Amino acid sequence: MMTRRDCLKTFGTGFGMTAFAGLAGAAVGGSPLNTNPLAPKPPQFPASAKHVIFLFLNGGPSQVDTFDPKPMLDKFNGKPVPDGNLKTERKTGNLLKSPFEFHKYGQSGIEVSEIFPKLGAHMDECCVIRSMYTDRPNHEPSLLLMNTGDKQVGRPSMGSWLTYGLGSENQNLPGFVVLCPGFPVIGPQLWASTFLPAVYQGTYIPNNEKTPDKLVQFIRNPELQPQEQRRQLDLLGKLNEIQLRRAGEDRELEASIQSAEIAYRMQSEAPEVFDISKESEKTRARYGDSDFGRGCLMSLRLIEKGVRMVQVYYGNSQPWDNHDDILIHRKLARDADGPIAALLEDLKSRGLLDETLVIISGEFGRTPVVEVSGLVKVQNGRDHNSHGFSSVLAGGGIKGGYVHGATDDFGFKAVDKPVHIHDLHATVLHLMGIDHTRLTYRYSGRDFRLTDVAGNVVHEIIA
Amino acid sequence: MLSSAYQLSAEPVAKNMAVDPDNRLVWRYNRQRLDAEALRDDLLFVSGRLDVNEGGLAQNIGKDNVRRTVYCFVSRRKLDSELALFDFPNPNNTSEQRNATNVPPQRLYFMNNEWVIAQAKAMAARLKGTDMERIDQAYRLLFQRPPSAGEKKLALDFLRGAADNEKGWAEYAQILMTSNEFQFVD
Repeated sequence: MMTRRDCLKTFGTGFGMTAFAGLAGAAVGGSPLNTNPLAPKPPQFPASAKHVIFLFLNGGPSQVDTFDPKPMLDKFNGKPVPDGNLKTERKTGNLLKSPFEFHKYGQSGIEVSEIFPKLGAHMDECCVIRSMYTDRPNHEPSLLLMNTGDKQVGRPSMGSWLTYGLGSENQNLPGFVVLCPGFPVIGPQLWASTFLPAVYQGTYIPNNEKTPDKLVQFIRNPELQPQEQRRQLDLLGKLNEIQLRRAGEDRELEASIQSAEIAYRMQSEAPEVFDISKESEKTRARYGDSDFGRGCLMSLRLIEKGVRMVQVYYGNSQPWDNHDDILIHRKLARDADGPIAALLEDLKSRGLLDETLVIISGEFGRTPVVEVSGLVKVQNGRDHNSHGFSSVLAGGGIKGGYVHGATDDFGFKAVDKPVHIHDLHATVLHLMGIDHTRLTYRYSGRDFRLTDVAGNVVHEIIA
Repeated sequence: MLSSAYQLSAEPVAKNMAVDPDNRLVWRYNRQRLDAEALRDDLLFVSGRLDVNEGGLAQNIGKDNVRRTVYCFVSRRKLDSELALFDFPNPNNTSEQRNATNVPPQRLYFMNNEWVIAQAKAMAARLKGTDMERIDQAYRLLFQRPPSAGEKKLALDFLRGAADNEKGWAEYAQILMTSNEFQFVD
């Protein structure tokens, strides 16, 4: 049998071509070089989802104004909560009814606020978890918990765990892509791989940039034509091959050679995939020209190309953090509703919704009572709420037209079938074909996992 | 472990490879990709621009900063993206060991980053004489050895194929800086 080294010596075309052949192999599943940490890996058991799109409405959308109608709030508007207010970050007052009406949608009749009519029309495909809860009524720990499974900085992001566990299906693009116009609060820590190898970190793309060349760092050579660069890389391949012969077989050296070829190919594929002008005008119009709208459309194109996970942040900093005036939610939803609905429609029409889990959520919810801290200009808003909030899931094996759990009469606290962030993470991994207790990484003397020592799969939300 | 163990090269020995391929008994050096700091320092060194003065205030990494990376400012809030690209550890965590990844975005950096291209041009400009003499100087500067006959031929062929000689030299210098021999410690 021919050894790899013999093979290299035999091929007159040099190692660059062998790497190229490896890549061609990777496209149909499995690189013969087997040194690529992003090569697709089989799930632990048959998966219902292959990709994740996480649409992050950062800042903390209010559940009682979006996906969790509370008629009792109307009745008791302006009155104190009978059992007293739960502790949140700031001082809160009496109950505040939602300024928005709720309507029933679809066969399932799930009620959604008037500010999300287009998403409402998809309720038969969605599962609304109305009993989400988290640990702290502060953005930083809650953002970290939702993204990394821990309140403190230092744990790998869910996307990093997913690419660590499953690799990615497209070797010409990063496996985990994060889109945000600017930065959410905390920023890169939310998509860091921390102690997992750096290859699994999220690739951050500031999607307020509109030209594809600006979206991906160093994607264009400022001086050379493609054929000049090809000549350079052919030389690089030959020099590396000479060195590899001298050094002996080495995974790292081979990985570097392979990476150069992928990088060369990324230059043609990445600008293309981020270039939403390739979509028809009609399609683009449905997403709108907002940052989030363009981000949703890019996420569709990335998933289509086999990227494992895409996270789209709604906006810079924390737009949904409406302490002052909950009416701002209407304006925010206007730029979220259309793109989310368009994304669900296009995933479906392109045959991707079945294998793509879409998560729509913030880091926590908001209080059903008005905020009265001295920090607000008008008293028509709501404080952070870690006791209860809603997340919406669709596709990827999720049970559509289903409401899971409930908050109390006023929407303050999850009381029926409460779902912690760890449970959500365990369920996401389960849908992706991974047992959350068996995806581990040894660091600092012990095995770590996304759910650490907690988490239960929520089987009721799975179709 | 004796100090001789620290002096070993990464050269493979067939007899040892057969017995201990993972180098568990430390019969050779484990080849390593240069760390982010060393990589930056080396690029500046071969371009002849590295400022080796000691001490002083930390400054941000930028295109005009030519100081050793150990004297560069490290932000805990937002780590320099180029250090992060080459696995500089998260400054908020303890780090028992460096990762040394080999990912395509790193190659894009070496292929297309204007700062890297500027170092390549500066290095090419340092080399004097005929093409043959300059190739020899380049190998001694980057790899501490003369080029082999095959390497010389590859270089000459590449330079002859370039639009003009100086452009060819800048492109060639960039490839030497990108090569595994430069970026790994044997």
